[in-house]
Amino acid sequence: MLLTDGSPAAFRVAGLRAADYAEIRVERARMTDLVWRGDGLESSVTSRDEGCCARVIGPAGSSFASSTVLDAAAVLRRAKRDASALGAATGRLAGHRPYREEPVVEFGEPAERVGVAEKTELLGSYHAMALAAHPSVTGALVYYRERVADVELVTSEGTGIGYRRRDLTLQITVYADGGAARTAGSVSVGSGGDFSVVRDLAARVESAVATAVDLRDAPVLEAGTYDVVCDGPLSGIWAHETIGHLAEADHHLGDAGLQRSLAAGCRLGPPVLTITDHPGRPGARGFVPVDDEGTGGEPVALLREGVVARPRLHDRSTAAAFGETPTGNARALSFRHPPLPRLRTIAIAPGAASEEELIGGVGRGLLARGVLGGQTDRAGFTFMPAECREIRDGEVGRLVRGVVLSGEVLGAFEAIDAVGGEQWRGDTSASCGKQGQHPLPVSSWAPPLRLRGIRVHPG
Amino acid sequence: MSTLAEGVERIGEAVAAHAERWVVLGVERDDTVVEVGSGVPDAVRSSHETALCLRVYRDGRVGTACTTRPGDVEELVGDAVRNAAHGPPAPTDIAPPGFAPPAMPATVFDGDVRSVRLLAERLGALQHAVGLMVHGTVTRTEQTVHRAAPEGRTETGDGFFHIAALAEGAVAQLPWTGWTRSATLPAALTAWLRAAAEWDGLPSAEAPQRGHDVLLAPSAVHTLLTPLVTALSGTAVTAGRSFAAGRLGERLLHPSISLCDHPSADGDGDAEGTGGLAWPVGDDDGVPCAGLTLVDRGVPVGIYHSRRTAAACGEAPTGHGFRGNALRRTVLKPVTPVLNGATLSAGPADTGSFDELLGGVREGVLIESLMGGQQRAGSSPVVEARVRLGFLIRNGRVAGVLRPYPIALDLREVLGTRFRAAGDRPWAVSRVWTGRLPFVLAGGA
Repeated sequence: MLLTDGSPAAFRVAGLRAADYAEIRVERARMTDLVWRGDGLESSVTSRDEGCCARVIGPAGSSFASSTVLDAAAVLRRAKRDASALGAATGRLAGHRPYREEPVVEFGEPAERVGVAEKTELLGSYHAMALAAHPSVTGALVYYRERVADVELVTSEGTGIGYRRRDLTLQITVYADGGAARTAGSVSVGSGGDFSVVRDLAARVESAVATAVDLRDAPVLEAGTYDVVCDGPLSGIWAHETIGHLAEADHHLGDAGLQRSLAAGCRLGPPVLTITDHPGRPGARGFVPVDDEGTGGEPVALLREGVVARPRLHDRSTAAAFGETPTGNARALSFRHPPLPRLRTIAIAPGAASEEELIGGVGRGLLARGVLGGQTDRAGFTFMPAECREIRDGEVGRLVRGVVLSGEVLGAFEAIDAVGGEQWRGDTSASCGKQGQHPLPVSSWAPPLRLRGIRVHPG
Repeated sequence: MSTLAEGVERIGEAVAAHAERWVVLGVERDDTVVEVGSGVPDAVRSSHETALCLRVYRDGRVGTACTTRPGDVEELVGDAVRNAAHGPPAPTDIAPPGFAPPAMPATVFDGDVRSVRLLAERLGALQHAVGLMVHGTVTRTEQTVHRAAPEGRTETGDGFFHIAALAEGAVAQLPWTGWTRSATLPAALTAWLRAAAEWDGLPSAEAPQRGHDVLLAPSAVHTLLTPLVTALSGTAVTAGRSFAAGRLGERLLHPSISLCDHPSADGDGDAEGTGGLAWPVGDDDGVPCAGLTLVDRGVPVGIYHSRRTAAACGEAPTGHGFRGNALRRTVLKPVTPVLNGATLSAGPADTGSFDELLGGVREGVLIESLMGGQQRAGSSPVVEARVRLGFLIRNGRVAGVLRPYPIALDLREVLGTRFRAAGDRPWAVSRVWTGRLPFVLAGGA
């Protein structure tokens, strides 16, 4: 251990009282960022990002301090000083199930073992390919990012653990001249550090080019209410932005309305709908076997057969506030941030419907694939699919452009009437943002969903 | 000399033997944040950040490396030199355009760390004064930026408070954001919260049918303007996603509207204490910061650039290349073109106070904030969003709180054919985007 080997000496020296809880987290990260824009490679940057943070929670006040100077004792003293001088609230933490370190699981092709030259050649070929693919292409962005961080956590309770976080994302966006607006097609992949996911993407780049080019001549959809079949990636984002964020327990603090709406036993959706927040699997972005408070991860069933099962995802502070058990969802983006209740891998259980059955049951609707953007304020949502095609009388038809799906979060669960049988488990480059902590890696496992009567408006 | 300043100096000495040219940027920043919940300061966060970025030009290529360890000079130089072997081609003009920003003394702003607690207590006390729940954050920031290159070194500093407040009533949550240099709450914040208190008791309402007037609050104007602001950045132009690229000189907005970005003079605040932030004299590329007109009387006329995007477009750099933004440098981010002091204004005949704008609406909506309107990243002039917070206007008065609803706004219409007037004072709209914008009134379609 870099710090104290779990010894509480550092905490005694800082002058903590018996009732105070304190923790120190040290992080050493290496990052590689490669960006292609315009004619070619725009930047190639490697970064060493290191620092530590301390959190003090106790009857006299609570505070969090961070520093890029790797002096754990100094940052703990600052946190203690701020808690006494500036903090006001009394804090407390729930007891938790400490994580027991497990053997490191090897997976795929660790990105840090692939040289920069090889990465540059491979990813640059995608950029060149996109630019040369069609005369209407006006530009392409290729943005690759990898991060490997070694984290050590020591607490005044005696916890002393270390863990490694890996993340890798690749976003390729191709733009074409669509007259008054640009049209876009994209490729979005990610992993928990496995470089192999960015190999062999030529066919997907070609498909992104085709989408951007074809959208130029696609008609703008007429605003109205449509039945929408969402593919797995879009369904996963939808679940993350709706039930996922609603279940983060800090949002429940002081919000009696949300507590009522999401009380255990409330029916929100049809019996075919079961949604779980999961600690994920090795090699995926949302793999969180231990959270940043040292709590071991466990699956949390949010909706079981349409009924709220466990309504809250906790850190130790929110668990104490609600008299519940920490769930392993306390996540911090880096040493610069305190842990918050955050999602990991949102999983919609597969149903029984085939894609043909999902589409065949639609008279007037849309087949929406992938996602360009999405946002929720926990009351409403808006999503912009990457690609949308009309469905008429059970047949998939022409491409349409500028589609935005919107609605009320709680009302949308009732709109689901069928769940596909094939659960998608790939990662994308989409990350989660909350209270300035972005981009936090997350995953989703989701089958296609069919939603009835969704409000759609065009751009 | 600080540890960071020493690090910058040592890097300059170490890298000179390995590169034809080099630039070092070092940032040292202290932040203290006090969170206010339901009128009471309830959490404290503080951070100390020291970070360095080195860019080297070697054998016709550029290599960049960043670190938070200012003492590990050899490691940083080695990383940058190794990256140059596979980095992007160096621009042919790698020397800055004959400019070395003069050293600027660190700005002194009042208050030690305890001043942030004092401001937070004053913010919380507004809860009793206005009768709404008041939440928010008060952030105290001190930042020093070092830049070194073969032609010389500069050091600039700044310090300020940022206040973000949310007034929560029974039916509405009204946000406010702004900066100040003194530990005194801006008068504008108190006035805004009092207005919010009056609106909170209003009944729920549906938006009128099409054809009504739309009064956009500065936050909503920001959402509406974002596609254009993004489309006029060198980043969007070089990426090929700008809908405005190739259309400069063509009328897009109402002939009364102009959009300018200009550095503020130090202490150039307003009477209510919501402005007055000073921008550096030069950007992170070493290019002087100067005013730039982006839209002149309805016609887009300018693209804002970093040195890299300017070179890619064959234009002159404009002094907008920053890591993060001028208020908050983020060394680990690349240099990109950013606006720091953008304002939208209308001609005198089309400008009025908020009360005049509101009083001119017989039936319409006041849109305070929009959700999801920034998803197209400058590729389209149309914003599709959901009204997060809006109010019904009847006969010049705010008459109800709107239920959320989806909306599509085309900036060519709202700021063009339908534009009627803009407010006479700009407001901060975000802690990230440091421009200031007025209310805007658009007539019925």
